[in-house]
Amino acid sequence: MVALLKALSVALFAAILFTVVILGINLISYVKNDTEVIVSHADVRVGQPTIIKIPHFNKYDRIYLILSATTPVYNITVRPTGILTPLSFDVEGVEADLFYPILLTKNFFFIANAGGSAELVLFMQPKVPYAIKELEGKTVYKVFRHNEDDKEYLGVYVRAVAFSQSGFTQTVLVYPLNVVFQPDFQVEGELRLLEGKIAYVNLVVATENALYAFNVAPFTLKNGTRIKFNVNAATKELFGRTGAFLGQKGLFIGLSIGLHEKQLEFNEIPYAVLGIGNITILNMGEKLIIEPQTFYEYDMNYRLYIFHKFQPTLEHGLLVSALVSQVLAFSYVSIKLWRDSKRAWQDN
Amino acid sequence: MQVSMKRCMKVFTEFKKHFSANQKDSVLRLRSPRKPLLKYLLGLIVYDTFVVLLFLLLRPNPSSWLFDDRFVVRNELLYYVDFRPGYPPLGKLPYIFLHNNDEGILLFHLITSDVLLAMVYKLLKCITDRRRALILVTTVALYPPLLLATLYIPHADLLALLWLLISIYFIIKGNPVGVGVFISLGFLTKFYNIILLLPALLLFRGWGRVALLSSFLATFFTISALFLAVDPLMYASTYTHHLYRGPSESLFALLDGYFSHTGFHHPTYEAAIYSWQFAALYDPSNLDHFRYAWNYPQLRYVSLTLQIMFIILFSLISITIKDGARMLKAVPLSSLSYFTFSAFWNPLIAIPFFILMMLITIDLKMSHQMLVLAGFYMVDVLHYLVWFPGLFLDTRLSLLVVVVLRAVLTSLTLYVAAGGRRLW
Repeated sequence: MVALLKALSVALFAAILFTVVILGINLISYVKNDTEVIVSHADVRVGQPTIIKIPHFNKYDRIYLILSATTPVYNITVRPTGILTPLSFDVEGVEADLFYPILLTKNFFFIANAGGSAELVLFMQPKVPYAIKELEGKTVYKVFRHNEDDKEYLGVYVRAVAFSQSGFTQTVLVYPLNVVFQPDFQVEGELRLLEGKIAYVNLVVATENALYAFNVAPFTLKNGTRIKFNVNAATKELFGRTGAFLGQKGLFIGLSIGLHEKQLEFNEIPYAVLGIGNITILNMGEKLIIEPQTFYEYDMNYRLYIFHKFQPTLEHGLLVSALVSQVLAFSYVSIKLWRDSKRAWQDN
Repeated sequence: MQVSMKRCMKVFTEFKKHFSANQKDSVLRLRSPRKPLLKYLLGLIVYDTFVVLLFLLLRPNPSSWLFDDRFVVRNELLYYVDFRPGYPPLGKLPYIFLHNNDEGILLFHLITSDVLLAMVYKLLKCITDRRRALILVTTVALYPPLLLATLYIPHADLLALLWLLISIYFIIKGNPVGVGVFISLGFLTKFYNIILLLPALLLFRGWGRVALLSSFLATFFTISALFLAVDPLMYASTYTHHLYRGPSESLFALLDGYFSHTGFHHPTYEAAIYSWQFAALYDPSNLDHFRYAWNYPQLRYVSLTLQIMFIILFSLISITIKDGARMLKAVPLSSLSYFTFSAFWNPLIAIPFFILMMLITIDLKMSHQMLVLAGFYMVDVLHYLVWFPGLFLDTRLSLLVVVVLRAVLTSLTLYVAAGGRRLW
């Protein structure tokens, strides 16, 4: 009996190995071709649709489009309708997108409801020098060219759709940097409140370790007012620190635009329109000027990923059930053999 | 006649003595298991009441952590098929049913910690007296990270620790099937439980070893069968995505220049694709814990080598021990090696670390052991405070202080536990 059980256990072990090898080969061959990447570009004319074609995909595949956040999207639709379901990115909340470097990209993620091909139809906004991100609450924003007093401004319209729990929305314009902040660091700039009400405009200095925020426009700012600001190593930031970022590696500077629900009258639309002028960054004697340019026709780079999703087949199902049954049978036999050997040892 | 009467009386007296002794024994036998049990139950009820009171006073919101569960429910996705959570099924699935229910989470945590404390007591009773075991269990029950995990953090750590302790218990009892089943349950809850498989496999011989391995595999495949059938790649990603994660809050993290917190800095879509697909599209960065680029890649291998080396070393030491009580002090060392030399630390890992350290130091004098445990209490509380704004030290410096203090304390404790008691 024991010899029979031992022979059975050897046979089951061999069967388990065989099933594992076949399953492994099947899965590895699948993994080798489970991602397709398309790196390309498209000509954009603001006001006209921009088409990005998605070649063949299968049901449940994931489609992932990455754009630069300097080319904001006004609207995106899918043709044919319903073939792709957009999946929200806000797993942890929009605040998670604050983290660098995802801050500089605009991402769209879809799950395929059926196999086939599709087109993404995008209505783009003008290209701007800043990556624009919503970081708190939910907002819609538009960018446009604004001229006033023979000067060009970057016009930014921000409207709150949903306020965060703290009652704010925050939209940030990000300009990436690759510098180590020196004592002569300063940022000079100009902005105008054209319409609406703001809670604040802060200049954000981001280093590898922390964010430093400096208020440059208060909530009392009246429409049409022009603000010139200068932030440097001696300026006190919102947490009371001065020059704490010096010597650290800079990631970006940002202009964060806040709206607050308590500022609004009944039925008042929560929005603000700002004009942003030149921003000049001085560091280690070098001057960098961010001009408020807006491009209505431009070349847009994009990356499109088609991630194939494993689809269970009858063969796969049979292999998995065979594996589970073999392991259970092997376990039963080995436990029986262990008990027998233990009993024999105790008897002796 | 008198002689026979005397004999009768003697026999009767002896019988009476014998009978009354037997009766006493039987009464004791009847009472002894019940009375302490009632006391322990009463103790647990008092402890639970204390935790519930804390819950009512502090009004924590543990379900706020369960953003992924809410996301999955909202978008009608399936875990391990459409979306990969950070934990294996036993660690994650209980919370999907509780993702909007703070009281439910508390109840689940209370039940887990009650069984956990009972298990710690049972283990301690194998190697020490009742009084000391009770004092140590109370020390564990009031350990701040345990209270914090029970009240605030809906993660799999408590359940994983419970499986770990039950596995150790079965190792001492010499039951390979129990060991295999519970290491597997642990592995299906949180990954570190699998560390115990190596000393366990070395400890058992012959068919015992085969029974251990087969019961481990049988439990794993039975519970995982459905996920393996529907999408084995997404299921595998639950485990493989950890390979891309960076160090955190450990000496290795600080040496590499990473001063942020565990789990932060990760993009929010990566769970809907396989981990290698994510790795293909997302560039590693030394700012990004989730897809980390080491500044000094050697540190990663140093950490891994130290872990493997000490796990093997302590597993081999465990084989030489035949006595169950001594084994209880030796076996946890392999798990402890994994935590000690891990590049990854967070305040929750402190809970298994603390309990294992307690088992290892059981030979010390009570006062000395309490001193050691008090040291870990303080270091762990300080570790939590690092993340609270307004601390007198900045994050970098306080993290450094905490990490160095823990390393010194661990080294000293292990030295003393190993027999170099001159220090005391």
